[in-house]
Amino acid sequence: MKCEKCNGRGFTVNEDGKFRICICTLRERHKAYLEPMKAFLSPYAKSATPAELRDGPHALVKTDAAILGLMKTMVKSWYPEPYVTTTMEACNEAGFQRHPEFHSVSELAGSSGAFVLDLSFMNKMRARNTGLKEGDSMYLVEFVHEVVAGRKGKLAIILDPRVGTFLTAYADVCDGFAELGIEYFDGRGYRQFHRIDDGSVGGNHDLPL
Amino acid sequence: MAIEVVQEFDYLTAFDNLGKKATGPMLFIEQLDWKVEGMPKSMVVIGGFSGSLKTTYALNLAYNNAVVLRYSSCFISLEMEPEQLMLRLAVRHAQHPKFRKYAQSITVKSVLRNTWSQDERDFMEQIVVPDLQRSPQYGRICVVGSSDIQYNGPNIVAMLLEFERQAVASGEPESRHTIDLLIIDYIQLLAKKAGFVIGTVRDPYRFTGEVMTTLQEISRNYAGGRGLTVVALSQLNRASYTAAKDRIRNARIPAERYDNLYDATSFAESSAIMSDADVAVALYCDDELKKQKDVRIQLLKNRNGESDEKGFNALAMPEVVYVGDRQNDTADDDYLAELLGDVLAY
Repeated sequence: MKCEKCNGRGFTVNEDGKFRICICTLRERHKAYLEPMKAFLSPYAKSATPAELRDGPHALVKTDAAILGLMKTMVKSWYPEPYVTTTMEACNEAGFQRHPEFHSVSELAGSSGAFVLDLSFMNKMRARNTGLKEGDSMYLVEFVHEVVAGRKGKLAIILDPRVGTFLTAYADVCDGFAELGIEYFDGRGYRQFHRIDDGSVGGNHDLPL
Repeated sequence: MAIEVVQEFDYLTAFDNLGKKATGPMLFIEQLDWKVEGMPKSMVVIGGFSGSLKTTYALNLAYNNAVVLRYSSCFISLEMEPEQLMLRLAVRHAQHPKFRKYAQSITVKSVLRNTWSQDERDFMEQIVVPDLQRSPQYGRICVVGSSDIQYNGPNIVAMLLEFERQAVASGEPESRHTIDLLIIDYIQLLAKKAGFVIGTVRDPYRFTGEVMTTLQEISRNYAGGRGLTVVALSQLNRASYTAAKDRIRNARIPAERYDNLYDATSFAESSAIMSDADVAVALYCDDELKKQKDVRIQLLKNRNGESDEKGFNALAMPEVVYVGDRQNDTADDDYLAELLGDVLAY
């Protein structure tokens, strides 16, 4: 069905002869832009009301409301900056120079101006392995530091819903995030990642989905 | 000297002409026009690498100055055939707001590939083209191909004066008698061809400088000092293009990667071009910008005021021959709610 506003042309012209991209075209582009984010949503997302998130580097607990809130922020503030979804494994591969494309964490961080860092899958094996964990944590925090402080890029970190377990298992990562001023949104508000030296996790963060 | 009496003076016409005489032709991009404030008797250079929409922007300049400000122009096209440019001008005019009621969707592709419907062709033949050609409200646009010009200053001036004589002889309204804008697509090609015609083996860099100086002379002294605005399109040198691409790929701050792409040394044979130009504009467009229908514009030199080396994005729709200001709807909460509803529906 043709758009009534632009008659399918994709743009409109105002009385001054200035052109405007039609809202129908923008909507299609925004939908394509958000498409990869659908992987983070559950089948129950339709009934969720988007959470109000602030624009800035932060982490969020993976709930439908928070992801929808992130999608809102992306359309309002990130678009048309192309974003890349990356993982702890990619940072690790880049850091250890095993990444097929990027030879350093810096190169990975420079590959885009906006990142969604997917930490929503907690690897318990990795969390238990002290030696490997240190490498992971180092490269992960280095990546976040490079994006946020070095390049003033856009970053959203998606955390495992069992955030309490994440805070405990990846304490040094949380410590690094805290040092960079990154907070996490747990569905009710923003909270600071705890520092290793203060020892407190604070409250029950194992939220239901 | 003409004698005017206050009681009999035609103030309405004088008021009508005031804007035109005060500003000269305009660049028709607000952020440039606020800074340049018109360009009477000026030498303007528009630089860009291949595919950066220089010709499309130049066509918009000719079109907008003719349709909105009634300036007549001569477009010397050494790259594209005049017929191609004429077709593009017709496509551009088909987007005029006064034709909205016809709800026709005319694009360069549909015209050049002859894939338009009979309705669309009728619309162009019976409505758009007659209006573009015969409306006394618009300035004239003369397009000259590479085989139709003599490659030296006096002959270009003679050609422009001949266009003016023809306009007077054919009974055109007075506002269409003068040529106010000369557009050259593009300067290095003019210099190269002029070199071939003269048959002298000279340094091409120096020769571009001489052509620029000749054009600047025309802009100041054409028709006994009346002058006109010369817009010369220019290639940029390969080194600056490579440096710009490198900057975009390796920007420390991604949001600023399209800032300050080019500088005054970016023009091919730059010193000669930059010293003679009153206004220098650079265009940049790559695949990512094309997807967003954007073109990056920098004002690298402005003899009359501040420049804008950082640059800004303008709307680029080559399919309808448009490079100019953009207006976009803001993403309000209702729109976002509907959008998220759409995303979740699939």
